[in-house]
Amino acid sequence: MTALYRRYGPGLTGLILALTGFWIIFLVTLPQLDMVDYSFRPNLSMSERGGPNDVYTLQNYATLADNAIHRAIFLKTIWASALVTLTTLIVCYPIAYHLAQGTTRRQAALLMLLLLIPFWINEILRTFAWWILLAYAGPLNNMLVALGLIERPIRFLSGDGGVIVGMVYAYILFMVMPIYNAIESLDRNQIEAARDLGASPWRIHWRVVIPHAKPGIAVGCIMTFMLAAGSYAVPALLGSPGSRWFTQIIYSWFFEGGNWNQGSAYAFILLLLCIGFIFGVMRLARIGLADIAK
Amino acid sequence: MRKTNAVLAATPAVTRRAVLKTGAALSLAVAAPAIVSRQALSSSGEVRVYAWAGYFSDTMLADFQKKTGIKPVRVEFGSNEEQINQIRANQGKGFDLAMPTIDRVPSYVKDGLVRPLDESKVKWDAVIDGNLRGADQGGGMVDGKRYVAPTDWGTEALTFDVKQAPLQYGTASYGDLWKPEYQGMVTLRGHSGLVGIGLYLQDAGKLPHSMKEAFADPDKMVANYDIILKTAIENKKSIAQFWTNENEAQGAFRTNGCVIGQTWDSTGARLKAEGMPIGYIAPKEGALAWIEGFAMLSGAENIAQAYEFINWYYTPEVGAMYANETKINTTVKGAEKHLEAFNRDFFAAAYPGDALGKLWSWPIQNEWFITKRNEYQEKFLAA
Repeated sequence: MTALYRRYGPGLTGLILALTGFWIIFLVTLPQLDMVDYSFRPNLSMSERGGPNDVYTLQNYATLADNAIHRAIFLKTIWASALVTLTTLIVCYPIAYHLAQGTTRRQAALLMLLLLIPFWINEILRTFAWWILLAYAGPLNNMLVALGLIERPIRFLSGDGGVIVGMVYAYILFMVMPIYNAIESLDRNQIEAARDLGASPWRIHWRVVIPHAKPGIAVGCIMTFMLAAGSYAVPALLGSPGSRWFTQIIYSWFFEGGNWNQGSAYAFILLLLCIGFIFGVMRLARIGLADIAK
Repeated sequence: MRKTNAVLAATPAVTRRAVLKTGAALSLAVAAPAIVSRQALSSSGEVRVYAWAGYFSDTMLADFQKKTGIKPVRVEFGSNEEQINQIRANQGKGFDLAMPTIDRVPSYVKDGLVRPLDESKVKWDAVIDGNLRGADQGGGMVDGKRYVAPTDWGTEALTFDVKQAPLQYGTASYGDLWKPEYQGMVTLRGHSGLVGIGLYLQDAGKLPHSMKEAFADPDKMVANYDIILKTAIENKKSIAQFWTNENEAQGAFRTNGCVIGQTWDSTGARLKAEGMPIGYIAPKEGALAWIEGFAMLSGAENIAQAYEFINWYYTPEVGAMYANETKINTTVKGAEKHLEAFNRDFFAAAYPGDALGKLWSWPIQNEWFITKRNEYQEKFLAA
């Protein structure tokens, strides 16, 4: 705080604090508190609110415990989000390494631009583009049929496949950037030293690059996991009758069933369990909060 | 496309908790300049309409502005659920007119989201008598007060590919969706798909109660819906895609390889109008019929302008413009003279013989029904 004050003076420091405070209090904390409050109340019509029936209850939380289908979807969402995170990591690590160590400055800038351009388009539109690409009568199927590789179109959008492809694509940057930042700070001499001493490429990555990039990998994984578990647009557009994401159930409680209280309880449970999952993973990987903030 | 909750996010937080009231007051203070300038605009003549996606085109709104000098503001939604929950979030404010389906209007009234119409200010003579009566009886009139000025009516029935899944009136049935040859090529909406299955089972004598009774009595609903859900889940492998709005329903046929589905009339009509080999027909169990119309929100600010909008709509030219554009049926008298031949032909092909007499009007859907219905839909979707 004093460092901030010394650096920017009273005016700018005040502005920075006011804006941050506004964001944290009005856009994060108060809506969350309101949601938690909703989640502990029964679903009443507007006229009954504040009346004798408007009491605190755990009934909305009991619903999830009682509903086997929702429990299964909840677990599937956690599992599938982890799968998305792992796939994104596998796709992004080579890109990030190449960007950070394998290119000249100009090439890196060009590659970064190519990675960024698709993200100038709205996420919904990008996801919708995937829907068109993968659709039964879409360009991919048409091309494969025209080339004679398949006889009948394939239903790519069945099961969770479409959702996972869409998410990996949507969250690439959130994984590439932190890993790139971490690997870039690695002294190239270390890699060359390892090579001179006869280490295989695998061993160099395992013993030198990955340990150095661990905080970046952790940040990327946490962001991707949170985004995947909380994504609504991708499963709504790329999902199939066989895939149901937990966020879709939350949406359905709010917008189809009109039961905001139940929806709030589900949303709060998702938030809590995601946080729990992340702290669990951090502990397993022996990464502290301080490593991530680096 | 599904709307993001821009309005919801832009509205200052309104909460029931005292602890949050300060927050609301503060954020209101921050938003004050925006609110003041909006009022300044409204005094110069503005009407804010919350409408179904695709119902009021730019051309139509320009026509309204030219004739009345009032600036129309249009915000769109894709389903009744989206509509009522958005209006609930705004507590009846933010728009002057909304467009609920009449069977949902009693819920709006119960929550105090709409206000009765001033009967003397609407040109009721311009409305087809049967439609007005239908709207009043179907939920548009509550405790003797009229809440809805009906704009249009339409149905949900069978849309089919004329080559790959040809259907004939008289034999066409909701049960056709589940024929083995269409497996993996069917689209429908979760909750209304269950009603379609219900009507099919009712005709086959497999339900303990009639479907109308299921909408009125929770026990009868559960008895019926348990059987319906079982049939639905057994046949789920037939479904290629669930739709929730017009755009998704069209997409199912356009690019997702569906050849048969239970959709709105507008879906079948708009695809056919583009030259696709698509037909739309009422099944023998009866097409699901709805009426919708303008309702005035309790927090409406531009009341005189809103009545101008309703009365502008109640002219044959505008009614026809609306029907030609949306491909659904207007309630305005004399509009048929201005209808395109396509609309007339489509209507005749969709409801041949006794189909109009067999229409199955949506019963009033109370909140307990919506909640319960959603539970069944959820089980169907997740199975």
